[in-house]
Amino acid sequence: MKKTRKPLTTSRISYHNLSGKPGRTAALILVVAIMAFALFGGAVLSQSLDNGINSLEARLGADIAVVPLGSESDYENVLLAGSPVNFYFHKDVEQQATVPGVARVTTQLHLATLADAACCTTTTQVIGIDYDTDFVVTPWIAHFIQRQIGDGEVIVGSDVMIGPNNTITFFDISLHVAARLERTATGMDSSVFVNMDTARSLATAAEIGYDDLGGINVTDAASAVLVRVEPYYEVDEVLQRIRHAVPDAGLVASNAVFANISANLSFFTGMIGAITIVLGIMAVLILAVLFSVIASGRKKEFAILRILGATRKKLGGIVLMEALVISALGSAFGIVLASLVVFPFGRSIGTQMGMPLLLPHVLESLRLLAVALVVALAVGPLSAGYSAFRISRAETYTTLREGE
Amino acid sequence: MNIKVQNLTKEYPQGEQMFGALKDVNFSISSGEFISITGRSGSGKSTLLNIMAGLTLPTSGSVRLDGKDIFDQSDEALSLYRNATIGCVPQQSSILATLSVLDNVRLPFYLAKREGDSVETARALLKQVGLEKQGGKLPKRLSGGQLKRVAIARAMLNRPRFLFVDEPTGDLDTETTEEIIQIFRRVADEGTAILMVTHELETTEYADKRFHMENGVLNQK
Repeated sequence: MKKTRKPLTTSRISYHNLSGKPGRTAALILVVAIMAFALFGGAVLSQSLDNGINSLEARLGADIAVVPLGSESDYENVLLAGSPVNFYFHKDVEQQATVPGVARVTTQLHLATLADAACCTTTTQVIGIDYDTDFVVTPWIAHFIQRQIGDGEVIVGSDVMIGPNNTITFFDISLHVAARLERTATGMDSSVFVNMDTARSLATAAEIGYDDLGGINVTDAASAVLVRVEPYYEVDEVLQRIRHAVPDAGLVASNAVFANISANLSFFTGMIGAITIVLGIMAVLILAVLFSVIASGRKKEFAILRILGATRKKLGGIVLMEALVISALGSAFGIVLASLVVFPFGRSIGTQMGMPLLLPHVLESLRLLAVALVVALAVGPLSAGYSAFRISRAETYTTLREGE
Repeated sequence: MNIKVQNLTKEYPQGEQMFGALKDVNFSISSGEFISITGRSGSGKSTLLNIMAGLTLPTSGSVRLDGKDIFDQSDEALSLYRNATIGCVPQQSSILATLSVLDNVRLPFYLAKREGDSVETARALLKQVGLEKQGGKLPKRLSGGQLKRVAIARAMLNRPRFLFVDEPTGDLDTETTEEIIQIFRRVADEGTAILMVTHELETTEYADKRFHMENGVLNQK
């Protein structure tokens, strides 16, 4: 039985041309792949940074944090990186900080668990919240658990390792994990939340004593007093009043932390955007030059097709089809490669950059993929457009006689 | 069916002057005729062939297919004329390196929109030119003479009424030359008109009419 042969359609002719010159084809695909890699990888990273900054803004909650003097950066590190640290002052600061212009105020007790110790399942920052006054954490955790957590219960951040039977042990006290929070790309991901009584029990079990607390009983200790400013009041104005009322405390304005991070993020997203645009333009230019050079080298081939009856449109179609195939393969390679880098290593990249990087959800990722694919697919035909036009307009007779 | 060349001239700019490649050329070719045009290199014979194939515009005059000027047509119509009405065997190597010999032969079938298949026709033509076993090979595996025969088979795929052949035996040995000229004679006898331009006088012995071109002027011998 004779083998059937496929019709020599435009795409089949293009396929033969591309597969007949594997080195040249691979080089062209590589250029598109690099562009698609940068485009998709850059878009995912930019979106992740955007998500991260939105998440951070949502998690900051309070306008001002009052912390022990000298512990301002420790508190920022807890917020941004979840670095476990202890810092304490007297809980009376809550009353002192309630100056005109303060809408709400709440106290938190922070406790760093021990690293590499048998007493603790993992190293983390335990944050005790006061359910009676809290306005920062409870609105957020209400998405995951609709009741107040009781004594001996804990809510864990997305990155916190827990022990068997849904428990986690700190200072030999076993706590039941009531809920796990969604990833936020902030320090909250490696923190755990307990109610204030549990926090004080843990502090006692940790043998944090009178001296560690700076001469304060554990029942009177606090780590941070979080303040929400009344609407129509300037944060800076209220901050000055608190500074005046509690001169021996440190103050952290959320907008300052946010502005600082935001500026850094804007720089990074700007950089990523610029690199992507530069790479995109370079890819179009390089491909345009390559297609032009290749088209010049194939002038005789196209002249032959003209002699055999190919219309100008058909010649242009062959060139554009080849460019589209190159774009499609390059896009696929680039996007797959970018996915293999940004999705598994996105968190590490964020950690390395010191940035809150929150990877997009599936639908958001698919939207970015679609945009990257459309742009990367367009690059080939766009770059080959001029060559296709030139080839279709070339004088067959002159081309054939060239070099005679 | 006939093609009539009337008062055809072709001029090229050469410095500040115009060079006349064709000077008031008149002749016609009808189905089944085998016409040869001899002349030295640069005499204008390839230019004439290319104008008749619609590949370059004349400066003045016309090429009429059954009375209609081929240059009054759209690109699509002129392409179809090249694809189906005429078949061309260019002087230069014209086989696409990335396609197999069989695909090269059947290529013209797909350059115009057609239904059906061309494989059997292409195989039959390869057999006619003695290359039935070479269909699956890439062109680089064939000799110069074999490639010329592939080009002839390809030119005949769409059963053209006219076959324009430019220096078909230029770099071939005597035996292959004889074989190829006999193929043309056979094709002409089957009703396809052959217009062959050559600088080799000995290849014109099978032609029905012989013309000679010198400095762009065509004379019948």
